[in-house]
Amino acid sequence: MRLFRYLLRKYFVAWAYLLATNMPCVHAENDFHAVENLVQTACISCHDAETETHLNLNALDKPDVSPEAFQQWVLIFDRIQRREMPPPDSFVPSDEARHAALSTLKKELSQINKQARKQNGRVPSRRLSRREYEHTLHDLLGIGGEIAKYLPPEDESGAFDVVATNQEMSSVHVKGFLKAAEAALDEAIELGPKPNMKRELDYANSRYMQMWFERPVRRGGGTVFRDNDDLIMFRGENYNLRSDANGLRFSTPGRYRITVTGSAYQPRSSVTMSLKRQNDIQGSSELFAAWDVTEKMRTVSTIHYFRPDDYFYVSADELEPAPDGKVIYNSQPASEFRGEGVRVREVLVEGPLETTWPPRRTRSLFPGVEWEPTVNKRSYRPVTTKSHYQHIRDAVAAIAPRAFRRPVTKKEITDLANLAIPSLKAQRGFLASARIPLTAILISPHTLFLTNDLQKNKSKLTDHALASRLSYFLWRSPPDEELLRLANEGRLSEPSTLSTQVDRLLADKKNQLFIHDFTDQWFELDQIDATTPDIKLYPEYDDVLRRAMLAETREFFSYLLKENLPIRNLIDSDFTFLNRRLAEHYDIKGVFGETMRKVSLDASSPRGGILGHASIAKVTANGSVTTPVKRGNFILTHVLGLPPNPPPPDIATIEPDTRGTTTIRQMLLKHQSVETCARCHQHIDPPGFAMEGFDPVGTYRQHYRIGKNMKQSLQPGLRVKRVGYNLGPRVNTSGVTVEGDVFRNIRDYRNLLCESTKQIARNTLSQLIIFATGGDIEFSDRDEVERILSATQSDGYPLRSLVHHVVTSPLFRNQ
Amino acid sequence: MQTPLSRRTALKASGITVALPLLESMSIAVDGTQHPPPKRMVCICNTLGLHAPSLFPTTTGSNYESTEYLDILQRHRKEFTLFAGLSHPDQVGKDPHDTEMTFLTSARNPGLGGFRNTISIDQFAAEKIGNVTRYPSVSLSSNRKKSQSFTRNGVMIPADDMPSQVYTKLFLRGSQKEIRQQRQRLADGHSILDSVIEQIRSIERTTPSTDKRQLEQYFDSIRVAETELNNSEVWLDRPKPSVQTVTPENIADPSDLVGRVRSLLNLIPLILQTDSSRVISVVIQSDHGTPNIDGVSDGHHPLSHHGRDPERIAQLKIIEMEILTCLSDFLDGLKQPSENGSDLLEQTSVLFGSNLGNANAHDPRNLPIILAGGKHKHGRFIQHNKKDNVPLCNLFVSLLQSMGIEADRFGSSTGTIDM
Repeated sequence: MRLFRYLLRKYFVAWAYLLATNMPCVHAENDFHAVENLVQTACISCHDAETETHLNLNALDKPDVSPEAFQQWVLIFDRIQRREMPPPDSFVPSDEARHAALSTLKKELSQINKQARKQNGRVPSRRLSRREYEHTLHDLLGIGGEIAKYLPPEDESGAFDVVATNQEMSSVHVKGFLKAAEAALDEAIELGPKPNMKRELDYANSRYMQMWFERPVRRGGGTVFRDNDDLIMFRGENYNLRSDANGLRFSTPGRYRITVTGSAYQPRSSVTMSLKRQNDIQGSSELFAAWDVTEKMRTVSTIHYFRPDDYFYVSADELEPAPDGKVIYNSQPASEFRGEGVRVREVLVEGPLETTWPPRRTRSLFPGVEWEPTVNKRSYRPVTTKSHYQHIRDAVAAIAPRAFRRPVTKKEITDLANLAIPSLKAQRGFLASARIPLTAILISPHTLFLTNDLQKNKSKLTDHALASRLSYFLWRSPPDEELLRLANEGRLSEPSTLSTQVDRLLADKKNQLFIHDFTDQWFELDQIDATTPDIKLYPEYDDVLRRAMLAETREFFSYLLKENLPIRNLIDSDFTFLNRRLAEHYDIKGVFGETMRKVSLDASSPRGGILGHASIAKVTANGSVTTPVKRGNFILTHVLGLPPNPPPPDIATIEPDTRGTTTIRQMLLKHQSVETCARCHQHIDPPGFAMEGFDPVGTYRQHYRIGKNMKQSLQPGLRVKRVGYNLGPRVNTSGVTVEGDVFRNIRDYRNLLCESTKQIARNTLSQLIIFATGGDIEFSDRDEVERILSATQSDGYPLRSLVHHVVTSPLFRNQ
Repeated sequence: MQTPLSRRTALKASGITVALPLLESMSIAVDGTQHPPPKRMVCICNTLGLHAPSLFPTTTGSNYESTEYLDILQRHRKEFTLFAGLSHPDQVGKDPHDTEMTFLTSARNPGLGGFRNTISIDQFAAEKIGNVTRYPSVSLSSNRKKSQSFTRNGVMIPADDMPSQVYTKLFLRGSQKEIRQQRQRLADGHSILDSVIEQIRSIERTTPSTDKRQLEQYFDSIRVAETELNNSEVWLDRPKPSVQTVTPENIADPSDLVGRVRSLLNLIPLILQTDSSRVISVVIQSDHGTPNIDGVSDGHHPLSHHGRDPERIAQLKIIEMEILTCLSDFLDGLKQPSENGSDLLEQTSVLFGSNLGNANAHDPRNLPIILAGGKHKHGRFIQHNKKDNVPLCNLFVSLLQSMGIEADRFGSSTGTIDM
């Protein structure tokens, strides 16, 4: 029989050899008969060399031959099990034959998987991802600048950045780690003069602003004016309001408190007064604080981390044009302009917020060293009480155990400290010499790699490896003193201790890093800026809205975790998190102020669950347009964990046609008429149709917006907006699922999706396991996943319980 | 692992000891014999394609009838060849724009599970010819740090997107103090990396052999990094070339697409002429928002999804014609004297193209590919089968060979191509 040709391709030999030496004969040929029978009767007529499918069963090796063949058989197993294959219109095998084939295949696949495991463990050692490295340096050195940017981006193949098998390493990384570590130390060792703690950014009286008060519009002026000691602004631009040009520079990196007193100027409704940070050298900018202000003077403050090359500026958003439609540029002088603006009365900057000088981070890096100002008072210098070498040794001994996440031997300390000797001998000084071993620690493999050290003669991780895995899971940072102490005492692996620690880690504010990184990657929130909608079609989309969108999803997920709510909430909840801005965007009344808070939703609301979040609508849109394919794919892949197959090679893609004659939906009809397309698109398109009710920025729409031939005009409403679109064809959000259920809109669809709660729980759990362990869910992990699901089923698979189960599971506790 | 020759060794072996990079000295060795002028390569990718009906002529060969787009390049007609019917096979990936990652590599199914990128043609060339210049290669981007240059391991080399930083790095001489600090830093780097290698060895002794892949990669990567640091150390002693221009200004506004592209392209003749690098890649990104060009009111990316709407196509064409004008001016900029009196353009193969053949449908086939300069047989429009495309890598192989680089295969190549 030609069915399984043993093609031992060159690079599979090692793998096969490994298996062969461990299991002389996993499968008696007879055992596989049930599978072969099924293949011959039900599969081979479509899946051979002659037919145009991905799969050619005649050329497929047995599952133990290569990892690729194994993966293929897992896929075959899944599709038969889900009854997707064979398709209903072809030969349908008897339940008996199906069952026999499945159980044989399951046994075979589990065994192969377990054998390979025995040899390799579940997950290999992995390095910290670029984000984890940033968090780690922040934690070890007490700094806050951007560090990840020194490292090349992680592989973007859709998995988490922690998945060991996808991680790359190259000389680009090595040089990146080195640069990052050096930049981090630059930031940590702060010996400049003690800065002036409290300063005012006095826009109204700044010489630089004077220039912009006087300049005409065509030379960049005319958008601000001075009213007594207040500054009135109508745009909030970076070039005139930047702090550095107006006499306020950050001399040292650190946390600063900015307090702003201001109000809305001639408002019709509240406006947003915001603070933005910009760094021209790094090419980055961010909105880091935003407040609703009315005509009443308001004083607000925030704390933010700045580096010396950063500047910030007070900005304004949601400003309406003048009632006559004029914008500031054609309504001069600015004091005559009747549109909305912001009045800034006072901007105070306090910081760096340090209790000692040099700052604590510098002092704790060099325990035992005192610091005194130099003669010219321009900097501080170390006062050493022991030999320089001894002080360096102390510094190494203090940071190495934290960086390596375990006790460090005397020899290790000596070896590291000795790196400073040539430099000390060359009289390069204490600090320059100390930096050498410190840098070596920061890029040491002990710091960079999460190794799976095992307890003696056991498959369980050591307490220290467990502490690292746990803290990088829930904090994305190295373990703190308490975790290390428990590991040193050998108590962390006790179930009750472990459970207490999980609760402690979840309650800590560092857990926000988990919320952030996990949702960023799972729901692709980190892709929110991948495309930008056209400003005339979607004038409501701005930084303030973008920030609220992201906050909604993160706070929502954080709440599910904190309150241990059933997983069903992920897709169907009667609440969400909103502030005034996002509530207005959703047309929900009664939410005031810029603070995000929990808001109950009406039963008739299209919101509730993440599918109603504007952030999800945004990351699944293509600029100004939406496509049901992308959104359907998102739901299948990220929510249900059942990613569709990629389209077959060399099929013609559908070319979008928006001339108005055909809608995207009509074009997708082709998917249903062509059989090869229909097989996958009957799954992909319906959820996408249900999501079509959300426009690219997450507004619930009845009609498409059409920008063709449109001049911008004022649109009345709660907030007068300058828009450039007309309402086009009605949006059709109805459809029929592959199971044949009819839905009219997202609410109906959500109800249907709730029937898949178990699958959504399975996917959530799987994502948590992958993120926590850095290893994909493999065939033999499935039993454990199902066990946890059964254990949590009666409570509706609550999120916090899932996290607890992950941590106590052998998948987490073993390699 | 293969250790490439250090630059010092290479330079010693070739008998060049005079201060680099004086172009004349590169081509005339100490014995007075003339060396052939060096070969150079510039790869430019416009990530949103070019509207095919405006680009491709209906007639082929050297008498092809020009088109709207080719009219812009009219004065260079004898200096470039246009190809149709080329593409990389199997480019269906996770996201339809993921082909940006594979334009210079041809790795299959970008972004799908288990995807791993492969070496890009610029890095392949840099491995072979990059060791004689201060920088083996330069990667530029019009917005953000995403480049199309990938190492042998498939790791992206971050791009420079600020002309002033590139200029400073390449042409501005640091003070004596800065140079001394830099040298000290490199020396420290060496002892740090040596210590890290010792630590890896000690971990490896206790790690099971099957769990060493990442550690071994770290080990190998450090070795490569050390060699690279050695190379940059050699260059520390050599003065940077002095150029008679002012540091270009960075354009902060991303919507100034044309300004940004132009300022990047303006750097390239300087880089080549001073022989600071011979291999350059440039990405014209798709995320510039709405370009501030007269007559354009929507974003470049949204307009590329024109939905066959004539008005939107008209706007898209305005943007693309601006980009082609930049290309045309760039080619003018390369027509400067170089080694042996020949012009820079004759030594430089310029590959200009896109990872998308039809951005409206994200179709990665029938890519628009222009090959200019490099003393190839130009002035032609060569049309390959539109349905059954020829691998773009066949062109890559021919290109590498024309640069004197030994390569029978590259990526998904199946042979070579007439060019």
